[in-house]
Amino acid sequence: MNKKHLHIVSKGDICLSCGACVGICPLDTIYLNEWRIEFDEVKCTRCSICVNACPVGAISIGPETCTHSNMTGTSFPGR
Amino acid sequence: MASDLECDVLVVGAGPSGSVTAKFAAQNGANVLMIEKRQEIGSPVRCGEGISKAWLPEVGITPSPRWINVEVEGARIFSPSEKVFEVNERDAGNEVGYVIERDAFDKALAIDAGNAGAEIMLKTHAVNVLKENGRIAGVKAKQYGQEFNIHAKITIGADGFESQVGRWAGLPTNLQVKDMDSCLQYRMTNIDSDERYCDFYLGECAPGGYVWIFPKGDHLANVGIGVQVSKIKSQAEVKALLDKWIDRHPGYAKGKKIDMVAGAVSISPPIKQAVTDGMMLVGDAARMIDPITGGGIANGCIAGKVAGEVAAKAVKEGNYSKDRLMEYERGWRAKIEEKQYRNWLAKEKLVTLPDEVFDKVIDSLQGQSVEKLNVLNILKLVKEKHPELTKEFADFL
Repeated sequence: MNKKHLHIVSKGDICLSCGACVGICPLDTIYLNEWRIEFDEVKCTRCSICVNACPVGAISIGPETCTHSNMTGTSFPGR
Repeated sequence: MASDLECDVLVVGAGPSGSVTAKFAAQNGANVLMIEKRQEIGSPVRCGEGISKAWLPEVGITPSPRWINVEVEGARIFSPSEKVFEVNERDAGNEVGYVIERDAFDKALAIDAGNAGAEIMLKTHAVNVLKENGRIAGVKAKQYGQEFNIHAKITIGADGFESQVGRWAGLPTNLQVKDMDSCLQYRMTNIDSDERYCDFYLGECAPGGYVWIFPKGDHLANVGIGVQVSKIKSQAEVKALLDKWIDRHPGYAKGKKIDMVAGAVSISPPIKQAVTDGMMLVGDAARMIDPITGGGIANGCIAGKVAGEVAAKAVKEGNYSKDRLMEYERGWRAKIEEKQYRNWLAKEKLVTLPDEVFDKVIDSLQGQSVEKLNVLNILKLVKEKHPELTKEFADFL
């Protein structure tokens, strides 16, 4: 699969903005912008630790989840 | 562009560790600024709200009805088949603990810091650290959409589990997945729990962690779960495990949820370095959480007092070098390190135990008493009954 077509999305209707993923990400890829979870798409290696670590399952990896209607924090190309 | 600010000591984050640091730095004569990204200190709450009380006088915190919900009489540890090991006040002396109103607690500590002379700025995010001649010299901050620099002689990273200040400064705060727990908690009303106790349920119901019930009075309690991140196998499993536990317990299944809190905690050994030129890390940002209990407030506040005092002295001397700030590194290690390391070793063992062993151990502890309710005394009891389970850390007991 082409990495460029992968996205991590934080689904706005599930995410509690708790910040667990921010601390868990080994590469400092995820951050809270105000109360919105955002990702640095360039730095992210899709290790997917955050996907299961999210207590409520708000993070997904894969093109099938990348619809702009179900997320607040989409993947961002950098800061 | 807002104008830049200057201070002696900049504290990033107004949680308990930050506020205690700010208070002791200000009390000892430093010009202190504490910044908090939220609009309200202490809110939203991200905490189980159970604390022990023995350490409070050491850091100058006076228990107050403004933040105490319930003074518990003891703790009960449940094995997978729900055999109970109960430690009550009668056995444990007056050393048990409180269930607190965490938002009020955080505000009370911030008030102490403010009254000691610290300035406080809300809705102010750190967006990066400032570096000058190889040392940390403050942060680039953002408030109300405006970016500005805060120049500080000493910067304190008290920005919690998701600390970025430590990472920006290059301190070794990264954690292994086995050294983190992912947590979820509901505040539930209309439940049947014994409000005299904090309850802990061990075993496969919460792999590598536990389910907790911390009573808040009047049939209200925090019902939560922590699961070791390395043991989570699927998306939203933490929530599924907590929901399953609640469903299996009729006294809780009939409850109503009024609040939902999530977060993560470190269950790691002490970090290798919490100090660099111009900067110190305290609390969850410095991975000081107790790896057995998952509690971070006591260690964070104890370290915060040391950090505040050392920062004020260093400012007076005009020396903000790593060498000078090593007094803090030695100070927090003297108070916390051995216990944190021992509890980490114990955690490393506990997470390997199958349910049958938990049942056997808890069964053998029934009717035993400890002098004071703490992890060390419980581990000592386990050592007495099951030396094979404690051999990896017997030297620390």
